[in-house]
Amino acid sequence: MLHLRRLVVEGFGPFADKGRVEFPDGPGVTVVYGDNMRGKTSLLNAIRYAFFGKVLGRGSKERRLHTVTNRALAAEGKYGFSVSLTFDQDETEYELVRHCRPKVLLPAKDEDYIEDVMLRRGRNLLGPDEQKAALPKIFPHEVSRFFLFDGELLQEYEELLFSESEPAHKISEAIERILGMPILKRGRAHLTQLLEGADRLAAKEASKSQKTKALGVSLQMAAEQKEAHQREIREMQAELAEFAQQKAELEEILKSKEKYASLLAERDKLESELEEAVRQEKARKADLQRAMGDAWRTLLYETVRSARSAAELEAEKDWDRVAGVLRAQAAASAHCGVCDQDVVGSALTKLRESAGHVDGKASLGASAAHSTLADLRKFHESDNSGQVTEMWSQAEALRLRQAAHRDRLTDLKGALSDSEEDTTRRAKAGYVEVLEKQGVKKAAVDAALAKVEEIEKNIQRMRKELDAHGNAEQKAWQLRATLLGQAVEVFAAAVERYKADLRERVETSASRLFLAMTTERRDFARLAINEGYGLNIVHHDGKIEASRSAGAEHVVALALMGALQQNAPLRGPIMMDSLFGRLDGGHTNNVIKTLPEMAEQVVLLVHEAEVGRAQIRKLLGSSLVKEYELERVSARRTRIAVVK
Amino acid sequence: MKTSEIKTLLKTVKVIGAEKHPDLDADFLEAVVNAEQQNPDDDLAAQRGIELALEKVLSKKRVR
Repeated sequence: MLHLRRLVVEGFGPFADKGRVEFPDGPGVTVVYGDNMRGKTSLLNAIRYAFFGKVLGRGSKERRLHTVTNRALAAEGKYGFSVSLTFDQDETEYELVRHCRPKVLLPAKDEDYIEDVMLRRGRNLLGPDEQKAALPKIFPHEVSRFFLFDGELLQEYEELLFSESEPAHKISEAIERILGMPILKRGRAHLTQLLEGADRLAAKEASKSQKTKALGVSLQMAAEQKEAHQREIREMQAELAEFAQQKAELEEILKSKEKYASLLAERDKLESELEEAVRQEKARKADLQRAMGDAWRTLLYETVRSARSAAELEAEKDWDRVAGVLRAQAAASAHCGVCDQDVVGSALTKLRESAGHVDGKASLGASAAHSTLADLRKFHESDNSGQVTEMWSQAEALRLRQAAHRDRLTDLKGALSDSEEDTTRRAKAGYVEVLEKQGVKKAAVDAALAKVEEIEKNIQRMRKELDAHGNAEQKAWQLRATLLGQAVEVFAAAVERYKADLRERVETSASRLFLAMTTERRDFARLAINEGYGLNIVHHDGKIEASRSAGAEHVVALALMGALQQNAPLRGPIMMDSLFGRLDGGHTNNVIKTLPEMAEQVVLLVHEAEVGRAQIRKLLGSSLVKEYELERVSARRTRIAVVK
Repeated sequence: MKTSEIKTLLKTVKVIGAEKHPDLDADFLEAVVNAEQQNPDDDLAAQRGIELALEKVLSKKRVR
């Protein structure tokens, strides 16, 4: 059991000055409160750095150590940092100090730093080789993901439901590692190697005696054949591992293909819209050109209209004048020249009165106003200014749309370079090829394994015969080979049985933790584990929940973390950072209440907006063993303070 | 990892040993588990540990 005692950081991330976290003895939860940018993740990384010399950033990517130096100190020309971690392992106290110091005045890259490591076990300081051997035993890096994690890392456990994927394979391996499976697998492999050697020597010994020579030679040949097949199997398995790696890489490329396809669809749509916009603009411009042919009329419209009004007025006056002259002539001659009739009586009297003093001898000719009016009436009146403005606006809008489309198309063409198109095509072809190769290789491995099994049966038969006929020396070698053969058989069976037992135990523990954390106990009955340790949610009616929310994934992953802790030979503290972002209030409360069950020592790094102090205290009760807060000193400096 | 913490694993090995080969020395099986547990990243050391345990079992058998 690994138990953290004390963490001291200096110059690490936002912790410019020496900061210290003392972890209490005994089981319980230590909570560290901190706002964003105050250094919660840096504290998690400080532990990671102490054990492994590594610091992780977003997406679990390793961060350059140069970027870990406190920026306020760096601004003063002080670079480097140190982390000291004191812990107990199997009742022995260890102190691990890792100090990263600059070897140049102004470091700019990781190579500009030197790292010093000190490991004290009890009262003894371990030398470099001893440190190298001891640290992986105390805390193997491969299983650190189950002890030091954040919400982002928890999301990866969803992959376990897809046991064919490469990430799932890696996580499954890590799970088996924490559960102690490699002890059995390596035991089986080492026993097999020793057995092969013993078989060879037993056969050699048997071939020395005339009585058992033939049997010894056959046994030697069989052992050699078996070894050759096993070598072949190892080579093929290495190739299969390479194929799996290639497959994972190609899957990544093909995943990005989906994005590529959507960009391609957008490009095609924009290109066709652009084409249509160009066509429409052309048509609008032709209409506009035609409309502009008549636009001059619009400009003259007012001028012509007023000239025509004036001419009409003038022509009317002229007609009045002519009518007056004709009336005067008819009054003077009592005869109307227009209708050729005499005017008599009262009509003549009335005519003479209206004619007045008009000169009947005046000219009857029409004035120029009539011809002007006739000319002006020939002008075709039209005002198409509204139509022209509308057409102009439409053409302008189409032009702007084209410009926007062209801009976006330039971006898209950049993203959709020809090389990417080629890469995708090649990835697709490569993926099919790798799948085929994998299939062929797997079949070949199976065939070789079957041959090995057959040879092994023969070897066992020959061993029995030698046992019956061999001399004392031969029997001694035989006994060695027999013992090793039996042990191989036991370890091979143990691998399978232990795995099955573990899966059952992990499933039981995870189900219990899940039901404690979920708010849907009425619907969910348990979790069901798959071959690769992926966990499905099972309803009371036995049906598997097909659509899991991000929050549910989180709770399932936490249940798995707790279950691994409860069933692994290697146990230690769980340190978790900013877990509650995806959880609602009910789940958050349940998870906090369940934390003490997940591991003996839990360190929770939390932002108070996610969950407040009063709530944590109420939910954890006596399981809350200590509280710290990360206080802002300046943007680049944080102080670790005990909450009293 | 303490030996006591791998008791489940060891128990599985011993139970299978008793089922399949009752004559096979349980101490030898335990020694293999210990050798692997103590040398997780050192094949040679693990194999040496197993060989030592094997010699012990064989010498016991010879004495008998």
